[in-house]
Amino acid sequence: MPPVDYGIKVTKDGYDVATAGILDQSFNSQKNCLKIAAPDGEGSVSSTASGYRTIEIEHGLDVTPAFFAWFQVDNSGKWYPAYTQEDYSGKNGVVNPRSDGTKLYLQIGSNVSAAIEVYFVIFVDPGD
Amino acid sequence: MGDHGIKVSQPGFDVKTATPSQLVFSSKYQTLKVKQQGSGVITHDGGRTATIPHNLGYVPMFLVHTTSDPVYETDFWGDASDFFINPVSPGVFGACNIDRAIISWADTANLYIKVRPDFGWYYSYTRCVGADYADESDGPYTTGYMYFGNWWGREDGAIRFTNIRLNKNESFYKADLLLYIAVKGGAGDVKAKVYGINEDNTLPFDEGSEAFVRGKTTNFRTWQTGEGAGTTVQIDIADMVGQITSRAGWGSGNAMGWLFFDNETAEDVYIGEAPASCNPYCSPSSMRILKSNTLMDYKYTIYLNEVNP
Repeated sequence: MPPVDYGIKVTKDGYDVATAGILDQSFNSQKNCLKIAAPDGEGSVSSTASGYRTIEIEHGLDVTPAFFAWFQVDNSGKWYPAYTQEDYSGKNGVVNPRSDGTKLYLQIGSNVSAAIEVYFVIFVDPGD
Repeated sequence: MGDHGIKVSQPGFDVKTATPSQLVFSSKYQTLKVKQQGSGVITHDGGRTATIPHNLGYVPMFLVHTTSDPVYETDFWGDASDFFINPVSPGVFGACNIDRAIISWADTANLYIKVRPDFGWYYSYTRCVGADYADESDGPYTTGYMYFGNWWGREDGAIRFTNIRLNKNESFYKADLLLYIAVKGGAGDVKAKVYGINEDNTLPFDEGSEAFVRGKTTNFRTWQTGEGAGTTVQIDIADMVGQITSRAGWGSGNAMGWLFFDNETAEDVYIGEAPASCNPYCSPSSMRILKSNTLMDYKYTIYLNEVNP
């Protein structure tokens, strides 16, 4: 694809848009932004049980999307990125997310019965 | 729903027909907005935790990258300067329960990055064979177990660890002996003077000279404990480790031995350990070395986007 000589650039405060490098630009129409799917690209799901179980979320996208997920255990207010274990035994919980062309899968595990709440973010952009 | 807004397509795509993933920007979709970014180091003396205020009043989305445990500088784990996405959990599982993970989390006030307690420590173990334990009870010498304190008279013990990962004259920050008390006799403190065996690569205790006549370090530690069976006690052995690793013939991977001489323990008060039920990859007793107070580097991004609004 030939380089384009048109588009949009927006720089950070204090930088000249004509000369600013890419790291000093807030937006550049040649560079993709991760876009959170709307209206259902963000949300939370909860599970109270022990052992492993998987929650499936249909994303309705035409790609295998990039995603993020954080979780809290027993409403602690401490939100960990997946895949964290609060201690080596994993007794307090672990979340292992993955996606394919149709769904986001949140595999949740805990050695004890715990209320695990997962907050997920699905992007419309592919993960590669 | 309004039919207005802004779309910017990627080069080569018609903005009127581009799919969502072919758009660089669309006002229909929220994007991640950076609130703050930064970097730092986590130290052992700093509590192994970094606390980064964000002042948002809600839990923000975040991303953390850190270097990994220097113990795992291998082709698999990359170079010491490589950054890993958090959480990083090398060597968490296994019978040893060594926990080298780095975790992060956020609450409504701060982002926290925490290095778990075994990160950075180089552990060495016995081979879980009798020849790594020795005992001397008012004269008779035996291998197979180690008791010290006072048991029908003075009781001295010795233990040997293999594969000490410290080069000759290499600097280090801390060195500990973690002694597992399998047996406790009597009540009160066991008192001992703890020496290193001042040799380049001390032999198993059933080879060469008996453990208690081998040269001992001039540095020693006067130590006592009242802990009971089933506990692990910690002894600072840095001075003795430094003396041994400064020997002309010392090399990384060699073995070190430790002598516990009774120091007027009350009658029939003793502690001991033997290789029974021992895991050869992580014996109950171990020694460990922390090479630097600085444990790892981190970089973080805190977004304005909220988790679970």
